[in-house]
Formats: sequence, C-alpha cells, structure tokens
Amino acid sequence: MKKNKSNNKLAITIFLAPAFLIFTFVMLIPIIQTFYNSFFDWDIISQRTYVGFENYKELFTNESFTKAIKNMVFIALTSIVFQIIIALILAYLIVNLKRFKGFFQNAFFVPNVLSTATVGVLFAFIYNYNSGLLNSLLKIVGLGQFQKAWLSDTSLALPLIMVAVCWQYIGYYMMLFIAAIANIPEEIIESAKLDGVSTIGLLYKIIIPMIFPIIQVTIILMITGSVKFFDLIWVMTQGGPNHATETISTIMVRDVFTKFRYGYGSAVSTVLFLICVFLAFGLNKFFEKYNFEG
Amino acid sequence: MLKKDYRKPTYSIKKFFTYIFLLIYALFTIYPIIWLFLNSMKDDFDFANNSFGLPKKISFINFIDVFPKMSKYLLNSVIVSLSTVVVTLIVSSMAAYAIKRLNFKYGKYFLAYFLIGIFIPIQTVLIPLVFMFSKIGLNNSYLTLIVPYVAFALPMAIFIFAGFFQSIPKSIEEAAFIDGCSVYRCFISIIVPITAPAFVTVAILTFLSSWNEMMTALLLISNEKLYTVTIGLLNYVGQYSSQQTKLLAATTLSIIPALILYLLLHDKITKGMMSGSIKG
Repeated sequence: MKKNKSNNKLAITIFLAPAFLIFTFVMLIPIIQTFYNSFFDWDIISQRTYVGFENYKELFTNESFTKAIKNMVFIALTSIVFQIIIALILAYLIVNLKRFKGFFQNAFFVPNVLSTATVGVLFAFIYNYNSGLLNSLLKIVGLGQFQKAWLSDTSLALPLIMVAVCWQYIGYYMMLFIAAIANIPEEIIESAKLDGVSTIGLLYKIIIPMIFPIIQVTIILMITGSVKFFDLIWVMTQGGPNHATETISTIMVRDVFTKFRYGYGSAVSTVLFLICVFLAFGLNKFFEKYNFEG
Repeated sequence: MLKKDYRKPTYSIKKFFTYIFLLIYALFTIYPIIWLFLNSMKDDFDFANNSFGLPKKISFINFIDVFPKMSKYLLNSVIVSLSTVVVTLIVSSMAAYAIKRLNFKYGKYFLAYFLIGIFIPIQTVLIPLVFMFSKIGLNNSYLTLIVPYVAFALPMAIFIFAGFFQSIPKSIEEAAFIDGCSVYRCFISIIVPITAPAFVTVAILTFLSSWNEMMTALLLISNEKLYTVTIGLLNYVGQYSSQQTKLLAATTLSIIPALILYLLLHDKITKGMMSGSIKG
C-alpha cells in the first residue's frame, strides 16, 4: 500500500510537471517581470534606470491613452449592442426555419474561420479609395459623390472597423444563441404560443430571459475582447489616423516595436492586465448580484 | 375555416420576408469573400477600372507570383500550429488527469492556478519573453512560437479536459488497476480513447488560435524565413501597396486552407469553437 502511494506521487509529478513548468515560465514569471520592468526607463541603447511611477504618469497624461480608453468603451458598447441584437434576430429566425437551416448557419459562420489578419486586409480593400468594393458600389448606384478614402476619416475609421468585427463574429454569437434556444423546453414555447403571445413577445418575454446566462457570457467575452483588441486595427490603421483607432495594445506594440521603449511598454501592458483582471472579477460579481435580485 | 384561410397567407408572407432578410445577410457575409476571389484573378488595370465586375480575362499569374513566398508562410503556419496542437494535447491532458483522477489532494489548487491564465492578456507577457528567449537562444526558431502558443492554449485545454475527466466513473479505472494495469497504461489505453471528443475539441480550438495568432509572431519573429501566414500577409501589405491584385491573391491563398478545412469539418469546428467560449 505504501509503495502504491509513493508511486502515485511520482505519477502525479510526471503528469503535472510539463504543463506546470511551461505555464509558469511563459505566463506567470513574465507577468511579474513586466510589473517590475514598468518602473524602469529602458531602451535598446541606454542602461536601465529606476524611474518610479514616471512611466505610469506619462501614460495617464498622454492624449493617446485617453483616446485608447474611449475607443475601448466604444468598441465594447458597439459590440454588445449590434452583435447581440443582430445575432439574436438571426438565431431566432433560423431556429424557426424548415428549409436551408444548415446553409444559412454555415454562410453566417464562415467568416469566423478566417484569421483576423486576413479579415483586416480584406476590409482594408473594401474601404480602399481607388477600387474598393464600397466605393465601386456607391458609383454603381449613382452616389459617386460620396466616395472617399474611408479609413482616413477620423470619425469613420473606428465604426468601419467595427463593421468588420461584426461581419466576422456575429455568426459565432448566433450559433451560441441557436444552441441555447434549442435547449429551451418545447412545452414552454408551445404554451406561450397557445396563450397568443406574439412573435416579438415570445422573443422578449421568454427566449431572452431563458437564454440570459449565454448572453452574459457573450457580454463578458465582448468586453474583455475589446480591452485586448489589436489584430484588426494593426492591419487596417495601426491606430491612426490621428489616434482615431488607438487601443491600449497599439500603444504598447508601437512603443516597443518602433521606439524600443521597453519600460514604458511594460507599464502599458501592466495597465492592460489590471483592467482585464478588474473587469473579469467585476463583471462576474455584477452578474451574480443581478441574478440574485432577479 | 375562414380563420384558416386568413391565416395561411400571412404566414407565408412572413416566411418570404424571413428568407429575403436571411439571403441579404448571407450576401453580406459571403460576397466579400467572392469579391476577393474574383479580383485576385484580374490584373491591376482591370481591378482599378472594374473592381465590381467579373474578370475580363481569368489569369492565375498573381497566384503564381505570390506562391513561392506564400507557400513558405503557409508551411510555417502548418508546422507551428500542428506542433502546438500535438504538444498541447499531450501536456494538458496529462495535467488534467493528474488533477482530476489520481486522488491528488492539491488538485483543485493546481487547477485554479492554471485557470488564472484565462484572464491573462498575452500582451502582458510578450516583452519579457522577447528577452528570455534571446537569452536562452530560443529566438528565431519554430520553438519561439510553439512554446508560447502551448502556454496560451494550456488554461482552456486543461479546463476542457478536467471537465471531461471528471465525468468518467471511477470504477472504470479501478477495474483496470485491479487487473494490474499501471497508471500510465491506464491513461493511454482507457482514458484517452473514451475522451476522444475532448481531444478533438481542444485540437480544433488550439489549431485555430495558433493559426490566427498575430501579435506574438509580430514581436518575437524577425527572421522572414519563419514568418507565419498572418505576419507574412502583413508584410505583403507594405511590400505590394502598388501591386494590389498580388496582395489580393496572397490574401486568397491565406484563406483557402481554412475554407477547405471548414468545408470538410464544419460541424466539428463550430462545436469546438463554441465550447471554447462557455467557460462556466
């Protein structure tokens, strides 16, 4: 029996060690290093010097950071409003279909399997001034005077990037909602129909409350996603024009990549990390409370 | 009788508008991809004057021009993503097995430790990794990407495996242990086969996330020979700003593998991607 126990300990160590070591060295230790490095001024040429909270002070007083926070909120809100509403409508329509269900599901889901980099290049082409899809469409329907270099417009760049986000991800959320709606017991919907509940009433009074746990998950996914938002913007605008599409990640990558300011970059990513952790716990608490009261 | 007659047409009108609406939305999702395919077969002149229409003359010259480089990037992506999948499957299933099925007292603490990873944005770990990897000579090799991709994939993979392993009745292994089966044999020949769906799910999730990953590759890879598709394409954007149809062809080539995979495995892919979002 005793031998068995020490055998078991050995087995646990052998099974657990690889994952533990990789995770610790690639995720946990670097986080501590990033946190520590954020107190230094440090680039590729000069020595590391301790600067206290200077990097953070610079970041918080920087105009591009304020812009990045505003954009983060904009990205989160537009994702939640547009993606959830459109995905819900599509899911509801598709669930009730008799024919072509599979065709529509696949057609809507396909953009999800493309990489974000590809989607970025594709939409940069669509918005292109010279021969982009959007401008040629406008020309064909006789609205040629509205043609423009879409992504160079500071007030339109971010909303247009959000169109690309919706294009890619709505199908994904739609599939989540379809699966959730399929789990609602048939009797509930049938009896509501017999009671004469209208289609919209059915969606609003029965389906949305019943699948609300899934909607919560998607809201959390969208909010944390908007904090980390990077790939699409880097491919399409790199944070420009004039910081109109700046996010926390574009600031970090630009400072590390082109200016080699590692200390400052570390401060930016520490802030990003803290926002993520705060939101993850805050949102969970918020929804717990909400559910409790509801 | 009257009621029924009155009802029927409204239903079919409703149905008609449903289909119209869905068709329009399908056009919105699919047309950009078709547009990309069509225009990558044009020459630059045709694209500039007639980007909306069909190609005047179908030519594959753009594809032939970008193929040597794109095929290299695609091959790099395949090598990196497949290795990441294999290593992640082995390492995470083993860890979840130790946590859930070896009567390990501290299992739940280890599980919590790994799950911290779900909240960690990769941005936070990249700068130290640049320095750590160049110090130990791990920079500019396939491992430069495989090691972090495995680490990023571990939390979700361990979480999924832990869920599956928990649902297997204990009696299955106990019978095997009594027959003198070792822990290792039991894992490989009993647990792995009955949790095959978990392996498929984790494989799909890990493959897609490492295939599509951009930021790590951007910061950690400087040697063009090791570019994956994502940063290879990004590199093309700068390089071919004056030869747009070449860039279109490169983009098309980067899409084709994913589309083929989706056509073959769409049910498994949607299921796998969905289970990745429902963390509990």
